[in-house]
Amino acid sequence: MLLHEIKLKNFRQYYLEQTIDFSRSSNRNVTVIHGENGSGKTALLNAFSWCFYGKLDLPNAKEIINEHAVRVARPNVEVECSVTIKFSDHEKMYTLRRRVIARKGGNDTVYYGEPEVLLTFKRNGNIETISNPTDEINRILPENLRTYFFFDGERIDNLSKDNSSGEIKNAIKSIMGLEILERAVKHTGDASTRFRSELKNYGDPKTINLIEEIEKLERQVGELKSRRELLVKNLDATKKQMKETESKLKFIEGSQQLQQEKEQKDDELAEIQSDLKKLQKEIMETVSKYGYLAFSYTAVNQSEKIINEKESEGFGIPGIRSSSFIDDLIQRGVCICGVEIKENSSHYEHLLKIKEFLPPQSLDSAIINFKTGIKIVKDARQKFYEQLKDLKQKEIKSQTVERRLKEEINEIKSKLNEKDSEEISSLVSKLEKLEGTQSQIEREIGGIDQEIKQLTSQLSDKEKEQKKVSSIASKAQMAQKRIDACQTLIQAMEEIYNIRESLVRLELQERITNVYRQFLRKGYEITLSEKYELNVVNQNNNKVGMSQGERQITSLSFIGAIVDLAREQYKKEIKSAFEEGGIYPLVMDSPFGALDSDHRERIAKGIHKLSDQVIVIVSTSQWRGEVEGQMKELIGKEYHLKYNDPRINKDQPYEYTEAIEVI
Amino acid sequence: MGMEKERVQSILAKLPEEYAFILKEILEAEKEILHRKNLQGTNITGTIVDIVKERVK
Repeated sequence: MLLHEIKLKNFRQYYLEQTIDFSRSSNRNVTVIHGENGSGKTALLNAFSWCFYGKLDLPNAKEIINEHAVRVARPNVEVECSVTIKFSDHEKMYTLRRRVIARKGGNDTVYYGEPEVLLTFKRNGNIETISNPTDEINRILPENLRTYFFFDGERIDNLSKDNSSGEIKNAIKSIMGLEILERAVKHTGDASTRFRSELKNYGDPKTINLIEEIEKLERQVGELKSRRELLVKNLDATKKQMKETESKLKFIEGSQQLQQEKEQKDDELAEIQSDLKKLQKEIMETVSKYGYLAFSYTAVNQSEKIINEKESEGFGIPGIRSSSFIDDLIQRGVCICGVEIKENSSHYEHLLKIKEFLPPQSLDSAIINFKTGIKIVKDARQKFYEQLKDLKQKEIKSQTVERRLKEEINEIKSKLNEKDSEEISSLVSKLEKLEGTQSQIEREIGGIDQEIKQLTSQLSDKEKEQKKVSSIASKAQMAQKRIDACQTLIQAMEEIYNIRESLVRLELQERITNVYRQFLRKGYEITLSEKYELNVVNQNNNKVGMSQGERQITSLSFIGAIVDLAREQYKKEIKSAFEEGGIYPLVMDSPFGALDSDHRERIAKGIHKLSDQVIVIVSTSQWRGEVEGQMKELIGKEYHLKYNDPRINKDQPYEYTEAIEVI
Repeated sequence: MGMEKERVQSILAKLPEEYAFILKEILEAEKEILHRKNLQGTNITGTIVDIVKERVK
C-alpha cells in the first residue's frame, strides 16, 4: 500500500481544503512535513486514523469541524468536514473519504450528522464502490497496528508493557500471510462437514448414527472454542484494566512508593515463576529420560553378586580368567615358571584340571563386557541421582523465593489497604477484584482446554469408527473419500501453518535485533516472546527499565522490522502460495522528540531503508540540524504547515493552518 | 531457519498429487477473497466443496 495524497477539508484547524501529495519515488521516498508547535502536526496524523478507522486521539474529539467554518456558516447551510485519502494497493487505486456534516440552527446551535465513509476503487476506467469498507480497510492496513503505522512519537509507550500482544499477533498474522492458511483450515473443515451431511443421506443407520454423534461433538468443540476466544479477549481487557489501575496508583502520593515496590516484586515473581516452570520441565525430562536407572538397582546388584560368586567358586587362580591361556602354555610346552610341560606329566595333568574351571574366551569377554556395562549403569545412576538432587534443590530454592515474594506482595497490598485515602483503597479493591476475575478466567480457559482435548480425542475415535463401517453405498464411498481428502489437507495445512508461524517469528526477531542494533547506542538486546511481547534485556540478560527515548526507539524498531519484513516477503520473486507480505507506509509524528542528537542522527540515517514510503511530520526545531542533514537527499516532497495567528494577522483574525509545499 | 522450505516441501510431497492441486486451489480461492478482487460476497465453503468434488471423483 502506498499513500498518494491526503485532502483535509475543514478538519480541525485545517480551514477549507488543504492537500498534501506524498512522494512515491524509490530513491527519494521521504515526505517531510514540518511546522511549529500548535501548527496541526498531530491533527494531521489523526486525520489518517480518523479517515481509515474513524478514530481520533485528540483533546475535544467531538469538535472535529473547523471552528471558523462553523462560525461563519449561515443558519441551515451545511458545513462539511472531510478527510480524503488516495492510496494504491495490489495495483488498485483506492479513494477513501470520511466526512461529517454539521448544520447551524437558528439560535447558533450546531447539529452534527453521523460520519459517513465511502471507499471506491478504479477498475477498467470505472469507479466502483466497496460495500464493506471497514473490512476492506482492515485487510489493507489492520486497525490493530494503526498506532504503529501512524506513529505518534510523543505518545507511543513501551510495546513490551502493552497487553494487546494478542491483537498484535493477529495483525502480524494478517500482514505476513498466515491468515490465508488459518482461514483455509477453517473453511476446509466446513467443507468436510458438508460432505459428511451428504454421507448421512446415503449411509446405513449405523453410519448415520455415527455421523450424528460426530456432528454433535463438532458442535460442542465449536461452542467451546468460541467461548475460549471470548474469554481470551476478556482476559486481555482485564489485564489492561489492571495495568491502568496500577499505573493510577503509581501516580497517587502515598501509594506511589508502595506501588513501585509492588511492581518490582511482581516482575521478580514473574521471573521466578518462569524459572520454576523451566526447572519443572527439566526435572520431568530428566526423569522420563533416565528414570529407569532408579529401577536398575536390584537387577544390577543381583547380577554382580552372581558373577562374583562364580569367580570365587571356580575360577580359582586370580588373574587367569580364560582357558585359552592354559591352551597356550600346553602348546608352547613351557610353563611361565620355566618347567617343561610334557604330555601325561603331573604338570600337564594339573594344567588340564585348572582348565576345567576356566570359561572359554568368548564367555570371558562377555563377562568382562557385562561387568563394564554394570559399571556404566551404576555411574549413570549415580549421575542421575546427583542431577535430580541438584534440580530438586534448585526447585525448592525457587519455591522458597516464590513464597517469600508472594508474602511480600501481600504485605504491600495490606499496607496499601491501610492507607487512609479513599482513592487508594478504592483502587486497591478494584485491583483485587480484577485479580480475582483474572484467575477465574484463567481457570475457566484451562478447563475448556482440557474439555476440548477430551472431545477432540472422542471425535477422532468416532471418525475412525465411521471409516471402518464397510456397508456403504458407492455415493457414500465418494463422500467418504472427499471427507478424507479434506481431513488430510487440514492436517497438512496445520503443519505448514506451524512451520510458517515459527519462521515468521524468528525472522521478525532477527529483523528487530538488526534494526535495534542500528538505532540504539547501548548494547541492549531485544527479544520477541512466543506471545509476541517485546522484552529488552541488558548485557547481563536482565530486563531493563527504559527511558522515553529508548521506548520510542524500541517501538520504531518493532514497526520498522514488520514493515521491512512484509516488504521483503511481498517482493520475493518466487514465493509460495502462503507467503503474502505487502508494502506499508510509515507515517511518523515527532519521531525524534525524546531523542538526543546521536540517536536522532541514527534514526534519520536508517529509517528510510525500512519502508518504501516514509512520511515524517516534525517540528521545525527537530527537523533542522542532524535530521535534515541526514535526510535532505532522500526527500521527494516537502511541506510546511503555516499557522495563521489571529493576534498577528488582523485581516484574517481566526486560527487556521495551511499546508504549503516547499519547492 | 533455512530448513523451512524443505519441511514444507516434505509435507507437500507426502500428499497425493490430486490433493496438492486441491491445496493450491483452496489457497488461491482464499487469497482471492482476502484481496476482494471480485468484491462480491462469495461462499468460500461452497467454492472449496466444488474444488474437492472436481478433483476427487
